[in-house]
Amino acid sequence: MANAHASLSDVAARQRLGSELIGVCLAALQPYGVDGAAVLKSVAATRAAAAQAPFARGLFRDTFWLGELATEWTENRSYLDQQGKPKVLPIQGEEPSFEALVQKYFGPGRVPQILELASRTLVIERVEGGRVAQVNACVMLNGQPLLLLARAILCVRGLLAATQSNALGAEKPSGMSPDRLACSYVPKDAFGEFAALMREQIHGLVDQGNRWLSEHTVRDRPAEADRKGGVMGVHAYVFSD
Amino acid sequence: MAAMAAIEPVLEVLLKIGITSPEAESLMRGLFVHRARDSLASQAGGVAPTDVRLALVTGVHRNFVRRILSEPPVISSEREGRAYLPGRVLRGWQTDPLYRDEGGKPRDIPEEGPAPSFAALTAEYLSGRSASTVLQELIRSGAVQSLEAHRVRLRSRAARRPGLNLESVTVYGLQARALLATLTARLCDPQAAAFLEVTPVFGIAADRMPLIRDVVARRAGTFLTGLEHELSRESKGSRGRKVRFSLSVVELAGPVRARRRKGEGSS
Repeated sequence: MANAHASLSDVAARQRLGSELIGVCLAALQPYGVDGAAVLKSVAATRAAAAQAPFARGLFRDTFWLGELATEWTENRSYLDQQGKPKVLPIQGEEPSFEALVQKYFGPGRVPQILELASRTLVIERVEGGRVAQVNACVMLNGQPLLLLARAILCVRGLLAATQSNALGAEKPSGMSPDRLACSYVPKDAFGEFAALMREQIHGLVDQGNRWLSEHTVRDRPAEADRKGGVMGVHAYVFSD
Repeated sequence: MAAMAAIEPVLEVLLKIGITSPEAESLMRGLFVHRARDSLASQAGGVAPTDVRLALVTGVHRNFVRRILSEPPVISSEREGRAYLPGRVLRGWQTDPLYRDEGGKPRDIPEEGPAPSFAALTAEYLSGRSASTVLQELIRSGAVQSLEAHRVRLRSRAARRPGLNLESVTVYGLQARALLATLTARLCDPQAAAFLEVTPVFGIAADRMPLIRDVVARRAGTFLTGLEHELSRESKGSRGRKVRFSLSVVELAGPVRARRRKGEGSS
């Protein structure tokens, strides 16, 4: 690798890395039935627009605000029981209720749709008496390829933004994006043990980030959040390549 | 005054379990002499001090020193509690992925119905027992909490008999001893290897405390679980002389005492 790097000019190396990045993305899209050639053609035509990932953002919007809803349910004192855990909520009614949360984050008339989405993504489960209990404070997208792909696209943007900031932008250490990687060659059958070890740690880390973000987030007019500030966050995952 | 602050919580427990002042003094004296002997022996490279020297150091007459050292000052471990059957249900609740949330923490579950539910959990981990009886026992022990809408919450990792009893006081004593040993080591030698870090004292709104406690419990639980994995591997792999090592995360709670203003006298 060091030899390959030394034998190329800087420009050529960047071009080659760019090709590899596109290649990696196209290869990753294959299992979803995406035609790589058609993608390259459409990107060439609409490159500037595609860079903002508007379609992925649109697909992911409800999921994003459902996450914010779940966070408020775990943080707002009127939604907590005596042990500081999310209360079981009536679906309909004034605050505290699921309807009041939906109204705040999605606007009027969307309770049935958000109930369905929240059940499907394991945020809630229905309990007796027309009520709902929170199961997870995070939105689980397992088994939903379209939503997971949309989220992956947004996360790739986030990773590349952090990389750009660290490689080309930030002069002060405080402006850098913390970016750490731990990886090694390990027998493949050890993945389950490693994932189990990291699951709780990752959850704790993201929980800490989420609490800070929820204190600072712009949540009064969700539809226009993009105009008021940039998306900030932390994304942690375990992989086996 | 400083020593009183450390001893007061212990005295509180002794009072609650009905130990009288003469009994407490006798117990303390016994512990004091045993501890002094161990400490002096350690300083002398393992050579036990004479009764005369111990009497001089502790202020206890040498005849009493000999009598005190002739028997152990601690409660025998022979009476440790037997295996507690409902504990199997608790272990299942903590380890079975079906009964944990995405963060790996035990989740609230309905009492009845298909898995994940308490009835299904009992059938899986304590087959042949009535789920409602097991639930009643766990609620009584304080390990499980009953919630609205017939849901239940796991409150503690292990089921223990509630209240003050031999088991709970023994656990209390062991934990207090370990904590005080670390505090003492740091007090005598600020460079001591034992780790001790404390946050500043914060003024938290009382109605936010349940949430803060929950956050601390989740975060500290995650931290301890991660270290448990690493220490467990370390413990299996290491050879040679071993030392006991454990880590606690403790909430320092209690009423805030008002500072005495200048000029105010003591009564």
